Amino acid sequence: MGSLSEHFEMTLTGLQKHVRVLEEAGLVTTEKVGRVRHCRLGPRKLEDVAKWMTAYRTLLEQRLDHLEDFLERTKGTP
Amino acid sequence: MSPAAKPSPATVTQPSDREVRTERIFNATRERVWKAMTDPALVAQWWGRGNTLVIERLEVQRGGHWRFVEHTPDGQHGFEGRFREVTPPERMVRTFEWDGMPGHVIVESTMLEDLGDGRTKVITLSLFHTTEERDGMVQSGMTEGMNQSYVALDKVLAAPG
Repeated sequence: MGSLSEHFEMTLTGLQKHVRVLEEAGLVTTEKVGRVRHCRLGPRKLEDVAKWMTAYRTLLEQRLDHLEDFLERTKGTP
Repeated sequence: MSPAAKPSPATVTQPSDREVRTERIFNATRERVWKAMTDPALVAQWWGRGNTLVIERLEVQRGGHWRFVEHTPDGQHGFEGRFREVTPPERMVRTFEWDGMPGHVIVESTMLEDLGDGRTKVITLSLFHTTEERDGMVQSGMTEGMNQSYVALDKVLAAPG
């Protein structure tokens, strides 16, 4: 976290506040190792999978709509 | 066709955080529905959602490879996978992967139920990666690639169809 506060030109206390908010939102996770606290990306990645599922679902529904239209239009064929 | 004019009710549910299930009734016999899903000449007429579809491979047998490329106004989008189970005309299980999200495999099971009156109920169950698998993938730096993929996917979804 010390290197982050240098990077963003913030006080360590200020940075800690920001990180706490991000951590509560699930955007980062932190882990204390000795006197150093490490930050990494948090479980927000779940949203990415949710996004992919939504997109996939739309594709699937559109395909089923088109299958339905196809079956209607080819009625009477074996 | 407006949604109200559709001959069958369609339901989509999410039984768990990694499953999508659809259920739909088609006014066609089970044999016709199966054929529409497995005969390349027929698949080409609907799977592309109105876009040109090139069927590169469609080996409908256990272990068989399938690969379709959809040509949308913004480019080409490949989808592929392998068949895990094929039981004509009632059931198939295959993997589904989009080129834009390599490694994100969905296992898609399709069940065709003969309703006995010339109609067929089609149930699809799509199972997404386990948490462990997807976490491993995101940590290996896939997030950036995924965001780019979503932009591409949004375009695919917006394409005429």
